[in-house]
Amino acid sequence: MMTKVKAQGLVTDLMPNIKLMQAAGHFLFNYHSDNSGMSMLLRKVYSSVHAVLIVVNYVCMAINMAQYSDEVNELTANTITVLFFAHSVIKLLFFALNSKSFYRTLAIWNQSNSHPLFTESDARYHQLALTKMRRLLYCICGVTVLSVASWVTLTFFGESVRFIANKETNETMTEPAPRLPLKAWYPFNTMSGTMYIAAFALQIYWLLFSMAIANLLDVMFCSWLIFACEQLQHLKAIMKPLMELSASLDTYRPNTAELFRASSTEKSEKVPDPVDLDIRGIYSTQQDFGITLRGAGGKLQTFGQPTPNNPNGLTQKQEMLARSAIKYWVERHKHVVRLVASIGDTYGTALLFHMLISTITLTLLAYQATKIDGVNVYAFSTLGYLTYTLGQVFHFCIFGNRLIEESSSVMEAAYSCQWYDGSEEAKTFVQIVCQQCQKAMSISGAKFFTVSLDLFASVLGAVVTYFMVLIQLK
Amino acid sequence: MSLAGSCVALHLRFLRCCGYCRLAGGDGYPPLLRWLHHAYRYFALALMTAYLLQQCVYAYQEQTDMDKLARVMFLLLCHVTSITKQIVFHVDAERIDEMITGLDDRLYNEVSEKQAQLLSTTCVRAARLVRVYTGTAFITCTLWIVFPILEYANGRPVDFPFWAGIDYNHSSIRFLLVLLYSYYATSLEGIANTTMDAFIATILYQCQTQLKILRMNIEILPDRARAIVKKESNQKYEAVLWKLFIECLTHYKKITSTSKILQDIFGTVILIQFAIGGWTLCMAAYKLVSLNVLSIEFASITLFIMCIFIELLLFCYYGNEVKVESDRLVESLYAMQWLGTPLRFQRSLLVFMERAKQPLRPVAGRIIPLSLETFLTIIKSSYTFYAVLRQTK
Repeated sequence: MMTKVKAQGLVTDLMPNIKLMQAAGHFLFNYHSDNSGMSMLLRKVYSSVHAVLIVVNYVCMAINMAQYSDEVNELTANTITVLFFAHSVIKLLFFALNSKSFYRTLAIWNQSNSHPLFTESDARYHQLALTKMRRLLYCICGVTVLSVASWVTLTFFGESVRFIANKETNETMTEPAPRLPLKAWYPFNTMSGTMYIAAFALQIYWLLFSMAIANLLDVMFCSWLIFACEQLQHLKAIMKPLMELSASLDTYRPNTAELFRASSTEKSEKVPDPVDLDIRGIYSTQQDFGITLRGAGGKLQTFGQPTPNNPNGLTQKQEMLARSAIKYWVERHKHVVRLVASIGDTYGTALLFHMLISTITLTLLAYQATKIDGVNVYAFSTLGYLTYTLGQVFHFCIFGNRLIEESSSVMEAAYSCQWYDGSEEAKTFVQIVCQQCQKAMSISGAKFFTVSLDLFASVLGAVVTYFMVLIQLK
Repeated sequence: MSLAGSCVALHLRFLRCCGYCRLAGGDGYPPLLRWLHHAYRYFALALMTAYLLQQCVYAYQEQTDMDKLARVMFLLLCHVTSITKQIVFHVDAERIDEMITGLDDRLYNEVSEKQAQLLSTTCVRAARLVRVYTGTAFITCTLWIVFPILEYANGRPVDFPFWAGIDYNHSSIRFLLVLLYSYYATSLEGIANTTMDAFIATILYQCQTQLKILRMNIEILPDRARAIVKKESNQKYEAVLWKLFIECLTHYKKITSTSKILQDIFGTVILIQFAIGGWTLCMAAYKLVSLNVLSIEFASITLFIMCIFIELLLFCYYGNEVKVESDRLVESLYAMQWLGTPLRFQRSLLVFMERAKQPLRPVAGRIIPLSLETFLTIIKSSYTFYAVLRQTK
């Protein structure tokens, strides 16, 4: 059975990300063009195999950590690695358990309203959002591949040993360990030979896929935020023409025809059917094709009878366009609010776990950083972990912060347009919108904290404080 | 009892059996029974005060022995919070009754089918909470009497953590008496304490549910008005809209007042609870690390720590939920189809939005908000105390 799934809205925009997530082994089974039973089964098997491999190797690493827990330095290093990859396991499980919620968020933008006068602006900001999302995806993919490459390269430098505490003399001795990217317990001997190569290959695969799993989910979250921000930009941009349209309804304004001329030459010249006066009907993607409004040389063209109490001589169609513009704005804003609420509900708990684990990891890394004594493998690996962990936190903090800024600046946009010229209806509309926008839209980590640059600053501050204190204690 | 009021029915039954809460006013109890229950309540208060004093005497006697002092201190602190709550239930019984009957109000209970389902879920969850929580406390208390029995059976000297005034180590009858007294006092206190906490948390939970219902009503306000006008064609749209709006306003006022009464009655008690809870946690943790992992005492102290944890978390979690829900009120007001309603209505909507911007923040003792941040602060502080205690060891 070959049913074509029509990708629309957010799903179309995020399709490369979705495809990559499916390739990395996330339990993402929607949005395929081929939904036959056989391919579904194959995909489920593929994801399960990845999941099993990732969890099994993770457990091997944990066993290794438990085995060599006597010596403090060894234990700290192993704990950091285990916590570092806990993100991947948690995100894999989180997505598998919460996939309905993700699908719901992805489907929220499937039906969006449109207005003939604002389609050009809508398309422009949508394109901007798309570019930014793609750029982010490429950037993060590049960083992931680079990290894996540098990790594997670093494995070949330095001594491949592990620290053991000698129980009698209480000294630390070194014991040769296999030269692998990750320290893990395997049931077979990995010191040399074919088993060594097999383990090495497994670990390269594991590094790449587990980092990809964690990062791609974060990229999806940030892409949603980018999309919401660009929609808010669009709403801010059309506030001014909206007010002028509204003003044209009852105050004389010169060059009213300019308002009704939409810059794009394509579909925006269509007028919705004036019979359909129930304003809910405008909330649709179809447009009834009527007479074009563009006059020659900017002169006001009148079609049908001009309404008697309109100082600008607008026709009934134009008047309806003007009135429906506010409706479009409000409905679009409500849609964005719903999208942001859904994003917060979907991803909030994952962010909470991420922050919990990152806090513990960064504390341990601050301790490790005090032991750096020169430019060697240890220094590079510690700094690498530190930059990567801080980078992950920064990644979602910056987009969360942008959302907060954008949503609170809508009020400024509302104020800076010429609202005093608008109708009574428009002025009340501005007031109600300002009330809503005073509370900025933000993403919260399961109600414990708000995702913003303040969070990043506090995390960074805490790490630096621990580091300074520990240096003093040495 | 109404649907909203029945969420605290189980709590009140437990509290009345323990002699903490007075009997309901309107029920047909004969005056003799009322008088007896009144006396029982005073007896319970006297018993608890006596037990507390006995513990204080013991603490004074053993002030040099760190171990024994820790053992009696965390029970003592727990009892202090329990007694403060008991005193509040005695002194403010009038207002507590007023709050409970307020839950039977028409505004809280005239709901649609979907909302009635919400209310019954609240009741079910509240009942489950009190059963689990009180059950855990009861099990902990029962576990605690196992050690004295075992030790006495093995012939070792038993040391109860309170001053008994008699030598119970050489006489089985005396030992039994003291044991039963200890068991009765601690389990009464355990059950009543946890039920009172669950009671406060359930009122907060009910406020949250009512806010949810209010938001649901607000979001479809113009649609409801239109449906009513369609059904009863003699009513005008604007009049119906207005009536429904005022109903929502009154509902909000009622929720605010319930939350305020709760805060007024229990604010100081919750503040004391927070202060003592953090300190108790660290003392219990200090005791815990010196025990063998597989002993019964380890299990009972762990259960005790969990009870304290849950106690603090209950208030903070439900307080946080109320705040989050009331924050969403402005969004709900915005989400209704206000575009197209009369201008007069939109202006009144603005005034309501202005009021709704102030979230309903339950506070303890007028300063400390009941939220998850407070909870994290308490946990961090008790860990700091514990670390300092370990250093002084």
